[in-house]
Parts: sequence; C-alpha cells; structure tokens
Amino acid sequence: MKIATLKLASCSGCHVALLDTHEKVLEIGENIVFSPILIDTKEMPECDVVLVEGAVRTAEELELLEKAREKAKTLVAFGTCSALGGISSLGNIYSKEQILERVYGKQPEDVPEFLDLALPIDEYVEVDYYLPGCAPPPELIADFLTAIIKGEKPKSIEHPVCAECGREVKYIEIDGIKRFGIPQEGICLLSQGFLCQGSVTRGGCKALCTKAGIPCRGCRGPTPKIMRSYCRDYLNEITERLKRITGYEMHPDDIASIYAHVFGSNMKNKPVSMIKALMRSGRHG
Amino acid sequence: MVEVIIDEDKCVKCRECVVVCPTEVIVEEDNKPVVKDANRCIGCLSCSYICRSDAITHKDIYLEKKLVYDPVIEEKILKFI
Repeated sequence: MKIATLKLASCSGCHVALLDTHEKVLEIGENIVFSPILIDTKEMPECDVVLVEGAVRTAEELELLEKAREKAKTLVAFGTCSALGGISSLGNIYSKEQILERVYGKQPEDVPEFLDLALPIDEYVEVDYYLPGCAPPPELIADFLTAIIKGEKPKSIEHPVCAECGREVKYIEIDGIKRFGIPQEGICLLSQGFLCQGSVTRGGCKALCTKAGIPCRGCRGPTPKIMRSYCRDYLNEITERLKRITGYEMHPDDIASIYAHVFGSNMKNKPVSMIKALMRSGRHG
Repeated sequence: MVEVIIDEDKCVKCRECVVVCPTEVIVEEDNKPVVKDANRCIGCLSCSYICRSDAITHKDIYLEKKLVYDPVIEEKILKFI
C-alpha cells in the first residue's frame, strides 16, 4: 500500500492531525511514499491512496491536483478545505483583484495565476472519498486509513453532532445572540443563545467543542439530511430552531459566521442559501 | 405494524417531535418524548424530519419522505466519511 499526501491552499493542520494518530502513526507512516510536508521525496510515484489537503486557489495547485488524480487509484478529499471549501473559500467574498490589491498593493507578475474562486477539489477532478473536519478527528483518520489499508469500505457517519453532545434542551427566553460568556453546564448551547451549529453538522467528532462549552462551528460540513433537500439550509434550520426554543428571531447581522466552513461548496446553489448574496455584497461594496 | 423507535442515547429532549406529530403518537412524559400508540402513525415522517439528532427511526414503514431525488448528491453522500 502506497500513500501520498498533497497540500494545496490550506494551513497544514490536517497533516498535523494525520501525525496525531498515536500508535497508528507507525502503521500509516511506513506506507507514506510522497509528502511535501512530512518526507523528502521530489516526485510523486504511482500511488494507491492520495490524501489531498486544501482548496484549489491558484493555477499551479490545479495542475498539481490533476497530476495527482492521474497517479492515484483512490483520491481522498482530506479535510474541510478540499471537501467543502472550508476557510480557504471564505476568500470568495472578495474578487481576486481586491485580494491581490490588499496583499501586494499592486497586481503582481511573478506569482502563479490566481483563480477567481477558491473551490473544493471535486469541482475539478473526481473524488473517491471525503473526510471532512477542521482538522479531521485523529480517530476517524486512523479508522479510515486502517480500513483502506485492509481493503475494506470505510464506515460512513451520518448522525449530527447533537446525537453525541449530551446537553439537554430547555426552553429559555432570550433577548439576543450571545457571542461571549461562559455557558451553563448540561444545557443546550442553542437554548442559552449561543449560535451552535451542532444540529446541522455531521458528527463523528465526539462533540469535543460543545462538551467543553464552545458552540459548534460546523467544521464537519452538512449532514446527509441537509445535503439531500433543496429547501433546507443552515440559515433557515437554525433560525427556525432558535425561534421555537427561545422565541428570539435572528437578526441578519447574526448570520455572518454560519457559512464559514461551506462557503465554496455546492451549498451555494441552494435557492435558500445566503452564500451568493454575501459574495455579491463583498465584491460590489 | 408500524413501529416508532426513539434512541434514548441520541435524544436531547427538545420535544420538537411532540409538537410536530399530527396524530399524537409521540407524547411528553417526564420531560422526554415517549411513543404512546404507534398504530396511529400515518407515516408523515415529520418527527424524523425535525429531529435534530437523528434519534427517531420507523420500522415496517414502506415509504420514505423524499420530495427530491438527486442522483449526483446521493452518490456524493455515500462517499462522505
């Protein structure tokens, strides 16, 4: 079994998570043949599995990705940036001219061509598996790669974060969204007024954030329920749920953070999604 | 016979299923939802639609609430881990 990894527009956090798999790292590590971050080989050989981290932002990254697809039997979108756009795709709020102007002060000449949108890799090549997460939980990576090495089909997780959280919903009246503060133990974060996305986000992370009192930010992407129906979206699901539990109607100013991890994905094609409106307002003032 | 099962481990006791059930199959007892009379279930699947933690399953029910079937997205869902 030969495993290669590739890093596109991302923060290398998923590679760190790959090394965080404890004793499984020995089993996984001995199979890695190419990885620009972890080992010193220059050319990608023919591989069984290629883990691609990061979204496609420049023309150079697109070329690397297409070459990797030719050499890989199984291509895995590793991490939220490559599966759903992730944080890298938040740059889509602004046009490439606006970004380059801001970073360089003028339009640069000696850098690889900048694409207009940062998109997940399945917009360009065929993907065999998606392993979303920012970064993917190390247990999931270990289970996934062990299954692949054994030649089995990896197990898919379909339940939302709420099913793993264990906090109880209480009906509490609130008069505004809370951004900061220490939540009460054992009570659902949404009923306390924190903008928690656990009810629309794919589980598998053992609800690490919400158990520690931090609202879920939706890093594992939408659940199958949300992906399936055209009329269900992050915004209307959370707004409705918040209205029923707390009686508070969400203000447009509160929605900005909801789409943080799915900005580049095909969630933007849903008629109810606010992603395209946010993009328009960023690009045209 | 239709069987409605609530997974107690997954349930977060928000009782939205109690509010949404049109035939009062699921009722509230001791601040948690309980299946009272599954025979009355008309299979509208509103409860499993609204459940935030995927805790409700229906057995022996030969329909599924899918208004749209998109083969591209269904194929993609299978690939997510």
